[in-house]
Amino acid sequence: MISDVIKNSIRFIFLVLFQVLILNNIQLSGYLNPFLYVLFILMLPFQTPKWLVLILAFIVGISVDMFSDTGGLHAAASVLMAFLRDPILRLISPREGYDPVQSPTIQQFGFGWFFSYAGVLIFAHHCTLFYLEAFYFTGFFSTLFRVILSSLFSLMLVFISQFFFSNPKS
Amino acid sequence: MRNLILFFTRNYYFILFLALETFSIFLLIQHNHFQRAHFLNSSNALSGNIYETYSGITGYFGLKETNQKLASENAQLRNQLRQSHSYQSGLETTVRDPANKQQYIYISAKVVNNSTNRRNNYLTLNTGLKQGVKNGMAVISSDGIVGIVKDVSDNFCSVMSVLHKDARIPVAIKKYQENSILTWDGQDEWHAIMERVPSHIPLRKGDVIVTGAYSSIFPEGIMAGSIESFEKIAGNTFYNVTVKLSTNFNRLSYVNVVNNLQKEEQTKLEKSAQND
Repeated sequence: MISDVIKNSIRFIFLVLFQVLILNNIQLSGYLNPFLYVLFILMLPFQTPKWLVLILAFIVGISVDMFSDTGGLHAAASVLMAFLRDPILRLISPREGYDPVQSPTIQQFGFGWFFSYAGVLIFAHHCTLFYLEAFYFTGFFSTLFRVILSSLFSLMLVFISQFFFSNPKS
Repeated sequence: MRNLILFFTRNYYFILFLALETFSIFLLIQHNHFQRAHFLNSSNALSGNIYETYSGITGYFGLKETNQKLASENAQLRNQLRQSHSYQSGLETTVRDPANKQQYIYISAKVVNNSTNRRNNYLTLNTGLKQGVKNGMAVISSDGIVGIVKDVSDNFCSVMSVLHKDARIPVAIKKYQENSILTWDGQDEWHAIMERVPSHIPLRKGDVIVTGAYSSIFPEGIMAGSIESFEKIAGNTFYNVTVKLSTNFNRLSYVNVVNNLQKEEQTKLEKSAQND
């Protein structure tokens, strides 16, 4: 339990710094903005209380906001994503349920499960983020294009990072 | 009371979510002027009056007062500019006193509604008859020309944007004082065109275009844009010039309405000369 707190705190700091120092400076094209910090919300253990997930999501979002000078943009997107986490988890829960001490990882539940879990949440997060940023629907399709491309890119990074953050044995 | 507590304990998750989400969006709006303007815009689309009440309530955002103060200060400063005064050039008057005779009065206004993506674009400003706005007055922003007032109500006015098929703004190439007419071809909100610029003028990319002296609406020398490209039409002695507009029409928030005090006198004289 204590080690979980420490592990998640380190992950929090690492992801926020990685996001604001490295990923935010990547300018592949106007359409590609990966947001890897959502991995923190994705990988919180199952036993984390629902309200704590919301608050942690808010904190991680506002931290990124603070660095990237965007008001409450990331906080809003992260909180919505955290709110959707519980229903999504319940929707796609395996027959035997979840082991509360575990985290949702690709090793534990397989590629397909993790893909739908992370995919839906990342898409929801990026949708909120880009449409709040644009704030009106005149560029609806160009924004949608950005959402889809960036979601795919973030998802790819999340998959890659899965092999760094969790040891395959657990 | 017990039901209320029960309601809160049952739905604490959703209520917490709503609270955090609202707070985030509040931070976002408060932080970002661009979002703020659009937020107010969309809520205003229903009616100008709702907007007025709303912005009254959200006055504590602070940004509003600051902007308004700056805009009215700008208008005040423009009133003192040399351009706002006409000079009686003659042998007798040699003293150019700026307080001599004012020709232009600037009224600061907030853009309440705006469009750029249609063929004929209009803006709505929150000043009207009560603030001294009349039909046919020029509208400019700190970046350049914006449009011409088309309709006025008590507290609002509708402005025909430069991005309009009927907009014909008399302009001049600043370097050569060559007069022309600026029109909009509907391509995008960043560019306009000048037709029939004589080809003997050594045009260069980046030449500054300002409002011309032949306009009874716009003060002379207000920034309009710069030359982006030009092409000679085969078998003709004219250039067709593409002008990059200096005003960012997507981001207009505060503008000035220009009242030309001598317009009536000028148009009256011109009409009587035409009738002869």
